[in-house]
Amino acid sequence: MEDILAGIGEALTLINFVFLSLGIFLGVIIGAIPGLNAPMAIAIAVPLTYYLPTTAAIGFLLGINKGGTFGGSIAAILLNTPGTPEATVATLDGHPLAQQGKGEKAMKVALYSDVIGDTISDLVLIFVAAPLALVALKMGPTEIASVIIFSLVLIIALEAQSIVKGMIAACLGILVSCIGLDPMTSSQRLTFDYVEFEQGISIIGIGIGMLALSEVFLSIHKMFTDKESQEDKGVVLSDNAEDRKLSWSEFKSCLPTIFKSSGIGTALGILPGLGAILAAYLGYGAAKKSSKNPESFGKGNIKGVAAPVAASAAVCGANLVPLFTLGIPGNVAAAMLIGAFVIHGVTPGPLMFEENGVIIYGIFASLIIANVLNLVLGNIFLRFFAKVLTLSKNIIYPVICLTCMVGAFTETSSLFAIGLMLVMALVGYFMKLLKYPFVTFIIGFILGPKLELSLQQLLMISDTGIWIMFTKPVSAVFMVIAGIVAVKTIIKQVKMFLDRGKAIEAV
Amino acid sequence: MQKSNFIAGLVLMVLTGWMLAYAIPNHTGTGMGYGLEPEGLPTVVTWIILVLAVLQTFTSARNLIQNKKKNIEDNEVGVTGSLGLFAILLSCIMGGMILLMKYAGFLFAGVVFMIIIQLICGQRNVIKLGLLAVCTPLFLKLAFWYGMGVMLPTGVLFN
Repeated sequence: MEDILAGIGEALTLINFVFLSLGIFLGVIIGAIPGLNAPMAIAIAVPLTYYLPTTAAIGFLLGINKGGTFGGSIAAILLNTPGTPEATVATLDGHPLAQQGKGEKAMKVALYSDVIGDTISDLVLIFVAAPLALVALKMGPTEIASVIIFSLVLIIALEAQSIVKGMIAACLGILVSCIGLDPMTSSQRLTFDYVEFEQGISIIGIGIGMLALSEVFLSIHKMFTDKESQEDKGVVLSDNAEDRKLSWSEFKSCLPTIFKSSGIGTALGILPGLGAILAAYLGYGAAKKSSKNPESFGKGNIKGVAAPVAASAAVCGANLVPLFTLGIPGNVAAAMLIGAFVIHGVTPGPLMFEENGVIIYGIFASLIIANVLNLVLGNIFLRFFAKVLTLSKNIIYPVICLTCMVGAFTETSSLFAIGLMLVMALVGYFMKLLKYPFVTFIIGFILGPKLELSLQQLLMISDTGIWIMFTKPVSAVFMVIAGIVAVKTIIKQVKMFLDRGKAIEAV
Repeated sequence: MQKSNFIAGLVLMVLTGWMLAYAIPNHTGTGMGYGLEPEGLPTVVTWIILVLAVLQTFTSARNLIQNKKKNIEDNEVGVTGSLGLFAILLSCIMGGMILLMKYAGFLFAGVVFMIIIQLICGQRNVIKLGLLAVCTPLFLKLAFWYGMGVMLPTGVLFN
């Protein structure tokens, strides 16, 4: 109880409020700009939080994540160009509403849905995480190894278009994580006699390079090839009061949709790899199916905006459940948060509640405060956020490039770190071009050391070697499910391969 | 994008072959003789990548041959062409900036970098170009020094 009260006290400090507000503000702006996204901003911001108190630092990064979800829907509604991938579904009804002059109404629906969805999933996180962490503490190395393998298989199956590329990316991530000192013997491993590699490759360099800089490279190239996107797209908001306001009856009519979509998003968010995009589509589909006027969807139905935004926002908080309870990131943003936790001396996982209870409960309180701030700031600055869309890209991208370099430098104050970030940016760039999922690379990189440690420990305690993972009941369940998912995905890929061959033969 | 997949598969095969034949045996320490050896996990994942790379190369080669026989056009991502060269160009610019930063300091290198990148991004307004090129590195230097106590490089020549 003391930890809870102390945590709430930490969250209610002025510095926490300031950085939460700043995080949300930045997150909305970054989410609104097509080509930029919250995980990218989190990757750049992580090293900048080094000098902040832990609760304020994590709160700042979570604020960026929350703001980014709402920000993505702004561009989706006003420009028919989603600011973030999960906002794609919001274009279906959001943009028709904007074309009818009701853009501000649509943005308000998106804001309220985002806040409600996020709050529901945060409450689930708060009430579920601590009991789940107690269960996780009872897990031994066998169970941990099986959960990690299950998570990797699930993420590969869901994120990768091709299972071959997904597995290659995950294995590359695990291989890169092996660079440094061997955890058992502390002998150098794959350092090639570079002293800088002895501490391993930093997640921050990988995050900034692969998430932020590589995306900027791609966007700059797109600016050359797609001249249309360089033209300023006009953003016009109506001054008519009826078009701007969201009435109480309209909001009330959306509530059942928002709650249902939030439930869908929360359930999907708890499992690693099931991202916000899937939640958004499922939320939209469920809303359309249960609507009395399904034909109105796609033509400017406010429930068509509320459903996907609430679902994708609900994924944000729920994705933190596997992070806090098992130390397994559910998505890229959670993966970047691990870097922030490590910087502040907190190891994500079930022991967080015992060793850093005050910080955890402070973060929980910050999550709820951030939702309130998101609502307030969103209402106040709604029109300003819409104006952000007209910012010129030839100002934004150079600033981001320079900020990336400074962010990479900050962690170790060495130019080597910037060079490493550059290499990772190139790797990320080519991975995106060649459709290798960089998300599985990053998650493989993060889970690699945990997997190796668990395998080390289970091999030491087991008489049957690796087969203990199939003889202990909990780990056997996870391994069987992982096997089923893997087999189903392989069968699907083989079928696609054979169908392609038949289609070509028929030509 | 069969051609790109084929080339990527070949590159991965060469890389993993080098890892298994040279890097892992020569740049990994010895273990304790029980449990998982230091080269255990790297060797396993490298073998997995090698097998998958062979599979990818084989399927892409098969698809390329089939496409050629049937005169089917494929969507290539231009990895070997403009897109790949563009990334390398940007990386060279940033690599050059790192070297310049080492000798001339962050401010000077930052100004030069901002000018080049803005020109690449299509900025042609001289006033905006100059203002942003000077203000951004200056702002970052001051923010990091006074805000966080982080001194960005001053350069060997100016030390």
